Amino acid sequence: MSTSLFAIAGFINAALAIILGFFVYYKNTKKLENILFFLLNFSLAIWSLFFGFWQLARTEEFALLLCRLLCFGSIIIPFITFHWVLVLINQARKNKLIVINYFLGLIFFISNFTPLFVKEVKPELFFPFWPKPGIFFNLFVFVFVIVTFYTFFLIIKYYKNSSGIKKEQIKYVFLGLIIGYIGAATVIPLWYGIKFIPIGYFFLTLYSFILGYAILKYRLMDIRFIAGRTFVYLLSIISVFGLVFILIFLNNKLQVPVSINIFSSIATAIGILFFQPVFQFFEKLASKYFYYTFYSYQTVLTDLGKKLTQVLDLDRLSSLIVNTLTDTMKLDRTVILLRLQGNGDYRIQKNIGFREENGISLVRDNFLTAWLEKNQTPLVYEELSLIIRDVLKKEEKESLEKIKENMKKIEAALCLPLFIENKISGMIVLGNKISGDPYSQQDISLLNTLANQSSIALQNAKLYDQVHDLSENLQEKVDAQTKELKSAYEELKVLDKAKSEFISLASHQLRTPLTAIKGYISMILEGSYGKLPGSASKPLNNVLGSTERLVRIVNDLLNISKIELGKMELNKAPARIEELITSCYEEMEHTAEIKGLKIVWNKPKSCLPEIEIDKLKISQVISNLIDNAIKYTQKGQVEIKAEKTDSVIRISIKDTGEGLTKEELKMVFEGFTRGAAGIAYWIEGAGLGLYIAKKYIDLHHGKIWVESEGKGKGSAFYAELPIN
Amino acid sequence: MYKILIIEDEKLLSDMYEDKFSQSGFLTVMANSAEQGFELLKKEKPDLVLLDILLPQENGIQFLKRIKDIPELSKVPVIIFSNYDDPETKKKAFNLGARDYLIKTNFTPTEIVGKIQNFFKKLELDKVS
Repeated sequence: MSTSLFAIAGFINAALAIILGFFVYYKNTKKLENILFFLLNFSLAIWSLFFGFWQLARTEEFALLLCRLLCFGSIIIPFITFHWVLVLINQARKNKLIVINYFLGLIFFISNFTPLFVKEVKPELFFPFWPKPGIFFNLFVFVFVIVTFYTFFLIIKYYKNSSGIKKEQIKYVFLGLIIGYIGAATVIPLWYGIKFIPIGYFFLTLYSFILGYAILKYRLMDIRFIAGRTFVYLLSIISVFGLVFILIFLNNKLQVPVSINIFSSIATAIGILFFQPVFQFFEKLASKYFYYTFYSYQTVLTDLGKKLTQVLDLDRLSSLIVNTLTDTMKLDRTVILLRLQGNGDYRIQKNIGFREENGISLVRDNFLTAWLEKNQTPLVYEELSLIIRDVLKKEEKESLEKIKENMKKIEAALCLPLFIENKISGMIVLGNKISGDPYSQQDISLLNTLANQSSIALQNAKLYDQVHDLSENLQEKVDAQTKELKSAYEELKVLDKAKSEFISLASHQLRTPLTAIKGYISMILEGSYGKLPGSASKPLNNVLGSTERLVRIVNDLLNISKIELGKMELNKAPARIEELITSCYEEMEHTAEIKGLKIVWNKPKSCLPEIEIDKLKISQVISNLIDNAIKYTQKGQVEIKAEKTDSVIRISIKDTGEGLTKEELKMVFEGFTRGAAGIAYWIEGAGLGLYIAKKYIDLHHGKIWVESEGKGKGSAFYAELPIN
Repeated sequence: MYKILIIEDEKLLSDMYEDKFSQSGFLTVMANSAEQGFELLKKEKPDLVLLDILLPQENGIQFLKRIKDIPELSKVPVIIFSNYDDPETKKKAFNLGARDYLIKTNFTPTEIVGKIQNFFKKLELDKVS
């Protein structure tokens, strides 16, 4: 057997070890297990590199130097391995043996600077130079055996107690280490002159492959994604550039009359063009046949995050979340449970793969909700054993056991709580991956971020739904009530019109007999039907007066019905207010005098401007106001004034009469009311005068109001008409 | 002596106005419907018509419409004399040539006679000038 074979094995081992080491190191330069793994592979690479060079050495001195150099690598391997394994099985912090471990390593490392470790080199078998042990090498072999056995003991013990991903990882770590160590151990016998070919050294290569496999398949140290992607890239590059080389090769063979430079440029361009589709092809292939997912944190997060903000419909949003999770991670089942407001019960919002009753069974009692709210983290089925082990309270332990059993039964692997202000608003329950792979730390933190985004989006959608429903209901109610009101209003309008029409009709009917009574009595009084006995004159005059009053009431009623039917029209003509007031004043003067009241008409000093008004109606308003003032005043005076401001002419009629209470002030311009004084003094009138006055002034776009300090303090009525 | 045609369906009122106008020196022709009024207007050629609005069958407005296009009839002045007080009707009546629109209940018979006498006085004055 040639030494060159061992040289080649050495260089291959060195290369693989350093590549694997750097891969893991660059995945996470801060994680202790990655750093230690890198150091382990680095020592392995030093050992293997000098092992290779040593096989090629021609002189004894050079071989001895190389043997000593390789020992710097091999010496520290078992000690670093010990530390790395402790980190992997989560026992590094508690274990004080690490210090002793490194102390021993340091002693052997130092001893290697002296001939006490490698004494000399001598020919053994077909090797021209093989190292011979110094005293420290013997000690090293002793310590090596102890440390290695203890390391494997720890690995096996941990393997038995672990489950899921950790168990699988540890299995491959064990396998890789045992092959590497057995391979390495076959080198030792020859040191002591035992003629055993160190055949195991070739197996050392397997160590890298096994750990590489564990990394890819079980996400040892979480570099699966990068490793997988690198693999697909390599395959794509090889395929594309293989094609390019084949093309160039064919070109050379077939002697195509095209310049080689142009042709290779074209071939390279084709290669570049084809790279993307080829890459996608391999990616799809890997994803289809190995359930391999090429998601990267950022891509999935940004994509889904973006979509989450675009969807407001609760059903569509939950479908989006469930579908994205199921598709990206290749899951067998996923369900979103949302918590109802009020009683805190859950309902299934969107479900793929779970049986309905199973999906909801996790949250049947309140324990899981309370537990998740307390811990604020996702619940991973595979971590439950560890959690249960560390829990101290007996009831909590039992409840967690129950949840573990239930999760196993319904095949749920992960519970992602959805939080709104630290309160659970729902949860996403995930099943297993179709590939059978467990969830990695990367998966869980990705899912956790997604859950946070989802809970906000779901909450928004829920609120949107509620508001939407509410506004729809409201709209319906408003519509229904508007319709009701409208028809009620229409009915009222019809009724109101009927009322006004009735008043109009009744009044007209009343007028004919009134005309006859009034006409005949006036004629009798005038002596048209013979001379009247003196005693009959007074009662007949009373009858005439009453009839006149009835006529006025009927006229008022007719006017109101006209106003209310919208039939009142103004016959506008230019007029001077003071002239209208003067004629009203002259008509009323006599009535006031009879009552013993002073009536004062303060004419304006300068002429008021002419304004466009319906003379008859405004006169009616003025005489009504003066008439009222006289009626409601027993003592004192009535004062009439007219003045001009910038835009209006204001008429005021002040009296020293009964005045009005606050309530009366409000009521006085409404129809069919009279001041309390009206009743007290038996003053005639139907309470329609002021109502009609207001309507007339309104028709002129004017203003009418009353002021009174209170009962017994008199009142002042004002009417304003705009100057056109 | 002026001749007045009074178209009034209420017997009570037409008797009263007939009494008053006769006593006041007018010649009175009484009709109790628009149709009869139309015939009497043609036959009697009065100086003035006092026309009620609410009449059986044809009403006062229809009467005005009927005489409007007959020049020899429409030259006779018509004063509406009714208790029916409706702005629209009022407007129509004026448009059809009515000289005035008086509400019966607002005036005693004496006042009406006064108004008619004034009307004729004014008419005479207009003729002179």
